[in-house]
Amino acid sequence: MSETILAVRDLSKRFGPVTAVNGVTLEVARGEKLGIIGPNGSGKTTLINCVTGVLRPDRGAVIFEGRNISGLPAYRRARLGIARSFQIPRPFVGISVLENVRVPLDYVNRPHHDGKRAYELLLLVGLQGRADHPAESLTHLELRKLELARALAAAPRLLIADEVMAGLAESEIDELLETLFALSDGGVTIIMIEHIMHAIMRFSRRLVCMETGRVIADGPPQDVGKDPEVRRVYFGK
Amino acid sequence: MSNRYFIGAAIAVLALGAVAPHVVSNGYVFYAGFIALQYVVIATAWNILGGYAGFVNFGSGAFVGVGVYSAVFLFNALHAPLWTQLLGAAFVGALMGLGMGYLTLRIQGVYFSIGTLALTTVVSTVIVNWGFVGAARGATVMAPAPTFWFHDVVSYVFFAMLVMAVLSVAIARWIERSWIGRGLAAIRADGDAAECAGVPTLKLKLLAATISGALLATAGAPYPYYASYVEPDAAFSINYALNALAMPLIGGTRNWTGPVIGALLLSGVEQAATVTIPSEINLLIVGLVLIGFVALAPDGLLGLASQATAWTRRR
Repeated sequence: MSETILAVRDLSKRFGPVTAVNGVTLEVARGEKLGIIGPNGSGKTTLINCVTGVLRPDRGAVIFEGRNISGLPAYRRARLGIARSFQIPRPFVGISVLENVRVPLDYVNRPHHDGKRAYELLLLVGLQGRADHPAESLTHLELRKLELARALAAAPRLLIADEVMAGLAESEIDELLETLFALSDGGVTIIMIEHIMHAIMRFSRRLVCMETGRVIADGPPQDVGKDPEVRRVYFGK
Repeated sequence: MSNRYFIGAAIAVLALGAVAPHVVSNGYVFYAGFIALQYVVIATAWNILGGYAGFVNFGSGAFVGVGVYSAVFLFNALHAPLWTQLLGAAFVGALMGLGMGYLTLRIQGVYFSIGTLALTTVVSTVIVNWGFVGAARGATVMAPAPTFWFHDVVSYVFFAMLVMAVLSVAIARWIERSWIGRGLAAIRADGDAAECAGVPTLKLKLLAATISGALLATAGAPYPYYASYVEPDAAFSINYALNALAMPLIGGTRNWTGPVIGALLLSGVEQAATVTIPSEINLLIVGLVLIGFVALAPDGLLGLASQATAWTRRR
């Protein structure tokens, strides 16, 4: 196994009486393709929010490339090379699609860049035709593509894709998987959270299953898929 | 509008303003023009934080008033010239914007709005009890006659306000088109998502609050020379707070032209109205127009215009 890019140590996050993440420890190797599955409310997104700095965990540490980043605000973590897409698309409304992609280019990548790189990213996700439209005019599907383009604009070393495939057609899932495979070949570590099982089984080389804030299975996708505990959580028996 | 046209237009406007005192003999033009330009500065400055970043400042009166009284203080203490008064006001306004922002912008935007509302009361109470700047009875400021080019004080402060208006618009336009503007737009849309895209949201909000505060204060600084008498009630008037909000909302907040259009419209209507109707009714009209726009045209006149063009194109 190669070096660890991300380590989560004994991480917990409570919301009032609900413990959303309960003592999770997880290591991700550089270049790995990791899938995280689990029923709704199992703590996947909360875990990601703690890793990216949107939420502060109550306990535990997040270590990125050997550095404890637990105390850093989200924008500093983004600059260190952690990018994410949001489960529910959160476009920057009021500015154009192209400008949406320019924001991470401005703030993470290079202070001096032209619109060209942003346009290339739109081309990559197939939004070039909508470059000058306001972000609020996009369809749900296009918004998901915009989320991905914005995450990629930061030229991340760790990309967290939180349900980017939800609501996409089969051909679009294939397209998106290809993009992610290409990124992975380029050396980007990818954590994919997904409910679309065949997509995540195809993509990941390692699968983690969460349930009520804990990791209940961790291993090669085929093994995790056969795990009786995982089957119980997903299918009720 | 490309940069070259904008710079050309800005220089042309300044040149016209400089030549005007030697061409236009009617003093009323400068008297009314000063107010129109002051409104342009206030609307533009307010919009940097309120429009671009989406943080509503109800306390514009505090910032304008602090500008007025910074000028009075510098005049009383040092007999400072007008340009020094402007710089001093900008400095105090910037500090107040930064401090106000630091205290409240870290939490939710609504706390900033509430804080700015209280700020006007706090600052005006200080001034009312400060004898050196005239306290409650007000201060008389006899401006020295301009030594060159300008014939009288009013056309001189008119020109100073014109410089500030052009400067404010240039700053707002630059912010809007630069990485700062994109960052502020991202914050207005979604603070968390902006952070995850690498935007240092707190720093950027503080920057916007500082610039906005500085420019708002400069809108007040030439007022003592203009009116030669100031008192706290006028300097911290609710009119400033209401107008600062109304002008960008009427014109449109997304673009630098919106506040300028709103300011020229409102000052024009006010000038026409003050001659014919009492000022209380004036305030009522502004309030009603504001409610109308918020309810029916939230993107202002610019929004209506773009809707209209989209509509005709579809036909």
